[in-house]
Order: sequence, then structure tokens, then C-alpha cells
Amino acid sequence: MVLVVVATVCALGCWLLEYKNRSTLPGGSSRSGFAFGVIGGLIIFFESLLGVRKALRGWRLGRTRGWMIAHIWLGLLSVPLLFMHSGIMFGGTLSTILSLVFLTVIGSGIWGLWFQHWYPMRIYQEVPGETIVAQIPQVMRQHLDEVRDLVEEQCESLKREEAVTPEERMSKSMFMSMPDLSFSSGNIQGKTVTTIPRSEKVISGTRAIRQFFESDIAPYLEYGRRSKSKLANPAQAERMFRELENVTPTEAQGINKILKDLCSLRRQLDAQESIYNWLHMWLCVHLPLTIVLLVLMVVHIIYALRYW
Amino acid sequence: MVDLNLRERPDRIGRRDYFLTRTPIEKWKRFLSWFALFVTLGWVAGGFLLRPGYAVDRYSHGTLNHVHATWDLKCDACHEVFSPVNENTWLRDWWSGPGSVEKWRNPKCEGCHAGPAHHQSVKADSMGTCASCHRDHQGREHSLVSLPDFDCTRCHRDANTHMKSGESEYASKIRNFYDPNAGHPDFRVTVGDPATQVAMKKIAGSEAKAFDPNDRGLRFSHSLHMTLGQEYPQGVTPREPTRSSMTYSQMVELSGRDAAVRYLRLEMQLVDHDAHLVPDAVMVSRVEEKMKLPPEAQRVQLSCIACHQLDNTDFKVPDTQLKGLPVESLSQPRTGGAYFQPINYEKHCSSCHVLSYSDGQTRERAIQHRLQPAEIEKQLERTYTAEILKQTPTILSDPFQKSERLDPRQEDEKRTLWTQIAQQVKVAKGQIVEKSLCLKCHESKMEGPNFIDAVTIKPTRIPTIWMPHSKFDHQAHRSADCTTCHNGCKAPLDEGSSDPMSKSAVLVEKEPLHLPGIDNCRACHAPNAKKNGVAVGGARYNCTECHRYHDADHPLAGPGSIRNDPVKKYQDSIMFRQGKREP
Repeated sequence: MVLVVVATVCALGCWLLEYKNRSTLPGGSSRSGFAFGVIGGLIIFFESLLGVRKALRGWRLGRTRGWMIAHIWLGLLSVPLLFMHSGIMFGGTLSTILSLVFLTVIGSGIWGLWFQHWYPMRIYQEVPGETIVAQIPQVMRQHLDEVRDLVEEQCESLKREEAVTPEERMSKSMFMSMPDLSFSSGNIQGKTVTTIPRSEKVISGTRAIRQFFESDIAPYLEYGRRSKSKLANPAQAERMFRELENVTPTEAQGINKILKDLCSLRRQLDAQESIYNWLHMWLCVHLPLTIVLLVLMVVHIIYALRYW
Repeated sequence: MVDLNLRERPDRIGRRDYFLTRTPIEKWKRFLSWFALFVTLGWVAGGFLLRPGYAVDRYSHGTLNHVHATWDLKCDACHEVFSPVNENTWLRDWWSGPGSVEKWRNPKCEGCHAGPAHHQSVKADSMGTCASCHRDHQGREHSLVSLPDFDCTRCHRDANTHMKSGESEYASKIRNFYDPNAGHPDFRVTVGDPATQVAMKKIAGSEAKAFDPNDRGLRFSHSLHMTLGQEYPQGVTPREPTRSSMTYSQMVELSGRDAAVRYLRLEMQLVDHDAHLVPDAVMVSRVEEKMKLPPEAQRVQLSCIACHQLDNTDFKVPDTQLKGLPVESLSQPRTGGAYFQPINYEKHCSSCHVLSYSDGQTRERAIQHRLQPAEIEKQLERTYTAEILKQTPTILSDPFQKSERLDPRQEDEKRTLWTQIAQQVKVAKGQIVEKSLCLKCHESKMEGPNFIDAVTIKPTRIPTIWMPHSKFDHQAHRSADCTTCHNGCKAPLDEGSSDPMSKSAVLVEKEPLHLPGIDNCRACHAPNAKKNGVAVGGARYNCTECHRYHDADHPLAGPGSIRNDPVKKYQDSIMFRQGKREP
């Protein structure tokens, strides 16, 4: 940052020195303006190489951290340089578009930078059960399968013929993996997976659990907020589970807790998905406009040099 | 029940290459990137392919001024490829070497605008390219000639260093106009600077070598003429004791109803803008009504516009009054409105100051204006000779014959005729002297009782443009009362008047110049500020508001002058519009 500030101050000094002997602000064809244009253009070109570096990450072209630092600070340095290059004027159609695209690219970059700093903290605080975003459906499907086994084995069937046969029971694992979201150590909280032994005992009076599972919990666990379930709302979910606890026997409260934790996990992963989208959405602006910027910059260079 | 073995355990994460799967955002990112690339390339290429020749409008770095709008799409009309047109020639200098005077020339600009240099005495290196000052591509309405002060002060803040001789004949350290301490001197003509004579020489040619702005060869009092009835105030003795107030009756008697109508209309315009729309027939009846009033009530009130007109249509003098004069030259149908039309006797003075005398015979006789006394005498001789010939035409039919012998009869007759003519001329001269027809307004080189034999009338020297190194637009200042700037022209007011301006109105017959000084301009043409709680300034104060750069060696050459903007070669109109030049 110090280097960027020093470079900006030096550039500004040169620019103002040239302005002292002119009646208008030095533009692109002045000595300093031209130099800033060349430097700014090279910076933009370098900035765009980050995408190439990402595509060729196997080549190990320097450390990612170094690239990002250079990308961010040189990108910020290019703003004052290109402002001075333009003589603080938009000019004609091409230069106006170029300026606006440049400003948007810079703005989206700053936006992304801010998200990259702020949202991971939010994930840390709000999503203790985070996982890889691309794996969320897989993870939830797995949890759903296991909890479905649990419900089918320990809760009363809605129809008698649906009862699990001994053969089916033998084909399953002896243990079930259930997420436990209550783990915390100091300021750190997170998700642990608890392995519990399977039980063959069907708890009577648990038909309500099974019904609630089939109608609300299973769709919600599978599709999250897209299922438009009321369980997406923590307050409503709390109320619904309280009602469920009231109509189920004490032995079945363990199942209730597991289902409640899974719904809570689903809400967290939904939140994580949302955060992830915000975290990456700016790239949908940043990257395409960078391409526009590069093309228009080439046209600008050709015409600016041709008609000095 | 079974436990998961090591092979089955990885299946818990499903697809092991899940990280290669693109999220919706990544898919959008990719799609938008390709879309942006194609759209941008399409926009660039489309300009060339779909509308060849029109694409440059997109890539131009700004809209051209109106005057160059014809070449919006013709960059090459003004630009030489890869050659700077503006002041940033440093790259070309670096490439091809500096030092050449030609580097400052813009052949493309000079193809149409062959403007001469500022001063021939300026160093070549101190001159800039055309676009150093005239910056285009700033929008249709951006003025190419209204420039920031720095364009001028970059040299004029230390003018001496930019002169070939090392010394400027003008103030050498000027930083701006509005600040009294910034080096801009007061107007030379108003401070009696001897250098004014040099400047005035440029106005009036070589005859003005000894021109003194206060010696204009004319006796004239604005104050007196602005007074109602042109009466001398109490306590001031008029040069003509018999002089009476000018009334409409008197004007009709001297110059007819047309003149009275003109002056009455101007008087009415002071209070009624629509007076110029009143038909002449109505005005005649109003003059007649005026004439019925007592003399005190029909005195003529002159105003500034009675003599000072920006456009000749404001004071329609009938051609009969301008008989014998170049009417079209004196009454141009349209004017720019910047400067007032020259005052001339026939249009502005003759209605009241009739050049006539009585020779004791039957009627008043007119004499021609613009004649020196010696010429007047010859004119009188011609007049009386013509009259005698007209009365005795036999002289023409029986002319005096030359003969070898003396003929007392013819000699006597000749002598008698010459004596008669000389007598009439003598009487007329006496009348002219007595009425002081010439010297009432004009100054002479030698005054005396018998002036007509030995005196020469000084020519009047009142330039239309008093300050040749600046431009001024009276029309732009029309909302201000004339006396705001020319306050010495005011009529003396009643002693009881509280108008402080009245103190400056002095009744004199040989007036000082009533041109305002630079501080008068600075009252408005300065940055906005408050002085003693009153807002001052606000009007533009750029150097270019008053000064022009080009052709300062011929400051009176107007924008349309060939001297100011010589056309090197006339262009074929089709090629001109295409931005091409004939080889």
C-alpha cells in the first residue's frame, strides 16, 4: 500500500508540474498523460493475466497470494493514473464507454474484495456446519438417507405393510452417522458427526414423527429453501418441532432432536449457499467487463496514436 | 448389519471430481464473458462493416465544434496521421528532432485558416500550434476562441523573454485582467499615454503621427446637447448671445417636418419602446400638436440614441438630406452592432445646425459642408457667377471676344460683373464670419476675425474604434445606461438633485474624453465577490473577452478581413465538404 501511495503521489506531482505550464489539464497526449496511459494499459494487461494464471494453476506461476496482492494494489494504482491520463474528462463515445467500463471493473473488484473479507467471517459465525458448496446436495442427500432409515426403523409405519423386513435391516450398516451441531470449544463452534448404533426397536406413538418427516422434513432436507417449506424459517421450525414433541413419547425425543438438528444444518447450508453466491456473483460483472475493457483499450490505443 | 469398508467409504462424497462441476454462477460467468467478447468485437467490427466511414464517430475523443461539424466523420480533414495537431509535439520532437519552426505549423488547419502570426516580433519558439489554443472535440457549443487566460499569460506574464528584441512595446508582466495588481495597465487612450499616438497612427494612418486624443478638432459639449432645449445653464454665458432654445417649431423651420418627426420619435422612445411603431403620419400630427404649445413646452430633448446608433435603420434620414453624398456608405443596411456608426454632419447635425447665411437679398443660402474656407470662397464665386449668368443669359450668347483692339464697352461690362460678384462674395463671407458657421463646431489652426482668408479648419479626428487593441461590443452592453460608463456625457442636473453622478457632468465646450478607465470594466468583469456587502463582478474576464491573438500588428482588421484571415486558395466545394485539399 505504501508503494501505491508513493507512486500515486509522485505521479500526481509530475502531472501537476506539467499542468503548471498549461492552461488545461494534461490529457492523454501530454508527456505525463501518455506515460500514465502506457503504465495504466500495462497494469490492465497484467491484471487480466490473473485469469490466465488461474487457468494454468498447474504451471505454478508464482504464489497465489503474491498474484492477488499485485492484482489488488496495481489495480487500485491504475485508477489515479488513468484518471490523470484522461485529463479528468470522459471525451467521446469510445473513451466514455472505456472510462465507464474501467470504473465498473474497478468498482466490482472493490465490491468483490470487500465480500471476500467480510463474508468468510459471516460464514464462520453463522454457518458452523459449513461444507463444500458443490457438495451440499450430496451431503444432505446422505443425511436424508440415514435419517430416513432411522425414522423407518424406529417410528411407527403409516401402513402396516411398509414395516422394514429383517433382511432389509441386515443389509444396512450397524451404525448410523448423525451430525451434531452442538459442538463448541471456546469461541469455536462446528459440526461433528456422531456415530450411533442402529436400534431395531419401534417406538410406539411415533406415527406423527413419521408423518411430519414425510410431508415436511424430507423435502426440506433434500431441496432446502427451494422446497418453500416453513422449516426454512427458524422460528416456525421451532414452533413446529415443539408441537411435534408434545404429541410424541419421551423415548422418541432423541429422534426429534436429530431431525431438528438436520433441519438446522439445512438452514445453515442454505445460508452458506447464499453467501457463496454473493461471494462470487461480482465475478459475473468483473470478468466480462474486463474482456470488454481489453478490447476497447486496444481500439483506443490505435485511434489515439493515429489521430494524436 | 454391515460396516462400511475402506472402498465404500469414499462413496460417501459421491462424485470424486465434484470440483470440476461448474456451479450456476460459474456457468453464468463463462457465458457472460463470451457474450461480452462477441458483443464488443461486434460493436467494433460493425462500425467498419455495416456503416463504413461512420465508425470514426464512435472512436473520436469528443464532439467537434459546430464550425467543424461537416468533418465529424473525416478525421483526416484536420489530422495528419500519427502527427500531433495539438501542443503535445514532444513525441514527434523526440522522434524527428526539435528546433524546426515548421513543427508549429498545422498545414491542415492553415488550409482553411491562414491566420497570420500574432506579432512578427515574437520568437518562433514562443508560438504554438493552432490547437495549442483552439481546442476542438469539446462539444458542439464549446468556443474555439474563448480561451483560458493561461493561453495568453504563458507569454504575457513575461513578454520580454518571448520577443526577438528582448523587449516588448507593451506591458510585459500581465497575469490577469481583473486584479489591479496583476500587471494589466489602464487603457492608454484614457491616461494620455504618449504611446497612444503610436496606436492611433494605426487607426488613422500616417496623418495621425501627432495625434492627441484630447485634440479632436471639434468643439462639442455632450452636457449642453443633453440639456432640454440645449439651453446653457444659468451663470454660463453662451458664445452666441442671441441664441435661443431649440424647439420643434424652430427645427421645422430649419429642416422641415421630417427632421422634427425623427427627433420627436427618439424622444418618445425614451419612455415608450413602441414609439418606433407609430406611423409617420401620426408622428406628423404629434409634431404639429407640439408646435402649438408655448416655446418652453416644445423644447427638444436629445438623448444618446439621437446621434449614436448601432444600426442605421434606427435613424432613417431621407436620402434627400444626404444628397450628393455616398448614401449607401453612410447608411449601411445592416451592421454588426458592436460599434456605433460614425457621426456625420449631414445625418446628425444638419437638422439644427443649418449651414446657411443671408446675403441681404431675398433668402437664406446654404453652403456646402466639408469645405475649407478657401474652398468656400471659390464655391461662393461659382454660385454668384452662375446666378449672374442665369440672370443675363446674353453674356453666354454674346461672349466676350478677343480682338486686336481695345473694346472699352466689353471691359467695362466685365469689370462690372466681377465687381458685383466680388461684392456678393464679400457680403456672404461677412455673414459666414458673423454667424461663425464653421468655428461654432470646428477648431481652426489660426483663429482671427478674417479667418476665411487665412485660416484652415482642423480636420475632426474621432475614431470609430478608440481602443484598437481590443474589441468591444456595445450591443452586448445594451442593458446598461450609457452614462454608467460614459458618465461625463450626462446633462447637468438641477442643483437640488441628489444624483451623485450629476457632479461629474461638467458643461464644457471642449470636452475631455468620456471613455471609461479599466476600473470601470473591472466593476463587472471580475470574479464574483462582495465589496462592502454589495455583490460585484461576475461577468467574464478572460483575456479573449477583449483581445484577439491573431494579427495584432493590424488590430483593426476584423474577422472578415483578408488581412486577418487570408485565404490561400479557394476550395472546390465538394472536396471541401469531404475534407480534402486540392494538390
